[in-house]
Amino acid sequence: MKDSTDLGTNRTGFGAPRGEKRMAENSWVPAEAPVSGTLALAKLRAAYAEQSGPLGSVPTSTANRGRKPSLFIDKLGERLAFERSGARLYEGLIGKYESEASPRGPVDLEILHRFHEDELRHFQLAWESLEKLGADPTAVTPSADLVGVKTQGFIQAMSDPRTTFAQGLDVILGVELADNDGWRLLVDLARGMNQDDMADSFSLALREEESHLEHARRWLRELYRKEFLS
Amino acid sequence: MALDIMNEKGTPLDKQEFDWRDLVRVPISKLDDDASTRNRIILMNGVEADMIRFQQVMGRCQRELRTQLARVRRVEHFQQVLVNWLLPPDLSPLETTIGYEQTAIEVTAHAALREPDSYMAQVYRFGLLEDFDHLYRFSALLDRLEGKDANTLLQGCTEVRPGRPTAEQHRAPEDDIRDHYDRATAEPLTKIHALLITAAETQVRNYYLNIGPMFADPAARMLYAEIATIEDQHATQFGCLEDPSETPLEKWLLSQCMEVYAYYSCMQQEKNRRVKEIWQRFTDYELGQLHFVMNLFRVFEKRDPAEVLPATLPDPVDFDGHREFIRETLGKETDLRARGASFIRKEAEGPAFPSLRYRGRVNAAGSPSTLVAVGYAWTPGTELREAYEAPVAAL
Repeated sequence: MKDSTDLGTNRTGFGAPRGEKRMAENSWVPAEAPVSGTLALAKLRAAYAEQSGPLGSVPTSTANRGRKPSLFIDKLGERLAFERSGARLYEGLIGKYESEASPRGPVDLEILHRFHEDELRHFQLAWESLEKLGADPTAVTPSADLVGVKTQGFIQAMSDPRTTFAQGLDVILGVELADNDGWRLLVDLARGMNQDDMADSFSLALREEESHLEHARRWLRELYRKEFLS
Repeated sequence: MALDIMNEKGTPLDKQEFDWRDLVRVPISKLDDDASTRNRIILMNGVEADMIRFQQVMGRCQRELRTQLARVRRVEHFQQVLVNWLLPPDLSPLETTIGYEQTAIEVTAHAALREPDSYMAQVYRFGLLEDFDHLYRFSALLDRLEGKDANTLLQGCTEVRPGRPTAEQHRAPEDDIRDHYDRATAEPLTKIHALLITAAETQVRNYYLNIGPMFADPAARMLYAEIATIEDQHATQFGCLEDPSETPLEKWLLSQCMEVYAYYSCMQQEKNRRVKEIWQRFTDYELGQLHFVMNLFRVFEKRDPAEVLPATLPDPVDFDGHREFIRETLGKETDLRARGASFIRKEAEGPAFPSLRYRGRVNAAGSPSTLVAVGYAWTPGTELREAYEAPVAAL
């Protein structure tokens, strides 16, 4: 069974074999620069930020209630994308559980399946909410696009066959932290848009996400405590 | 208005200059720009990459032209950087892959439709159905690994369904060799198509070889290994179409002409004003390079470029609108296979045929492309739309 914290020949540190002696020979010091490297980079980046437009636009919809419907649509699109990726990530975690390649601690497979179904149902909720607002749920909003960028790391970590079940659960912890705040924001936005029924449905989703987060935290603590003490 | 390449001199080579801010522009928008803008960027990156590769190899064999090749190649390199860097960083490698396959499909479909030589047109149709299947497999992976819908990139222009199954595209090397055109009798468009499609396919292979190992998912790694191998077959297949008896300088001249044609096509159809200016600028640069190489042709081969080049360019490349043609080709030619330079029906592949033996060998441990797409049918919003069947609480 795989263990992610076994001792071995990790070569990355300065103190690793061959590291210190050869790097210590690097005695070159740059001449003083008129600006610090960090500041120079920041200035360049600021110049590009000034020239660059946004990632893209929110598709037009028939939603016209409330202050800025496009923000609400954007965030609903974000939630939809996140739940969809979340469902795939739960599939990855269930796969790690079923492979039995690493310790799974107190985690209950049935609960994992239930959480996976919750993610699917939340995806469906975001989808139908967008339809109700006259928006196209197949479109990628700017925040949904950014979800794609941010979750690349989660997907890589989860799909790596070398990562353990605990490491996969750690990925889910990150996902659930973002998910919780995402639904919390949507509850507020829905109320601001006078979409009270939607806000109630989102509150239900939030409660389910809070349960996911609480479970992920507790499971990880128990997994690591067990490993630490063993 | 047709471009008169013999008289339009473009920008002189020594005026084709860049600086780093010029090279690194604000990229296009993944969400708001037309898919064909992205696909034109992908195509022209491939065209430049192939030009540079060709010019490097030529320089190893043509001592007297090394400096001239290096001068032109330096500009081609900068052009490639500027163009390729227009792709936005929020495109994941797998999303970029969808763009690569769409580009290959649409440009190859265009070539197949417009190609005057019926054998060449068949070669393009043969490759088209294979790239079409790759799009289906990668779309399945995008859905199942990243939870994304390929149509957000395809923008409804290219369908997602199986073509000739990738698992059946594996061929022994001798069955990727095709007949070439005759340099003395082939129409200029035939030569341009051969260069264009070879460039497009070679870059797809190179791209997959670069990004394949960056995926953590073993299914993704295997799929890229498999499809990169087919793209290598395609690069061989299309590369065979050029007449080997053309001199290197003749090939260089034709390649420069193809580049003018490609950039001019891009410029004529581009809707993004900022990108259109780049296509215009580089059409002028390629005209300048073309005339530079024309002079070399006159000096070193004592030949008139007009005997090789068309007086005017063909109709520009269409980057979409081939749906009906692709459906028709799918209906008639999915079951074609290759034997030597010919195409045969699937039923005619005998057990002793090298490709059948080869296919059995590479697929011995299973087919990644089959595995990744088991039961996959493209659905708007991903197949997760179908996965959850319980009703949502009333809003």
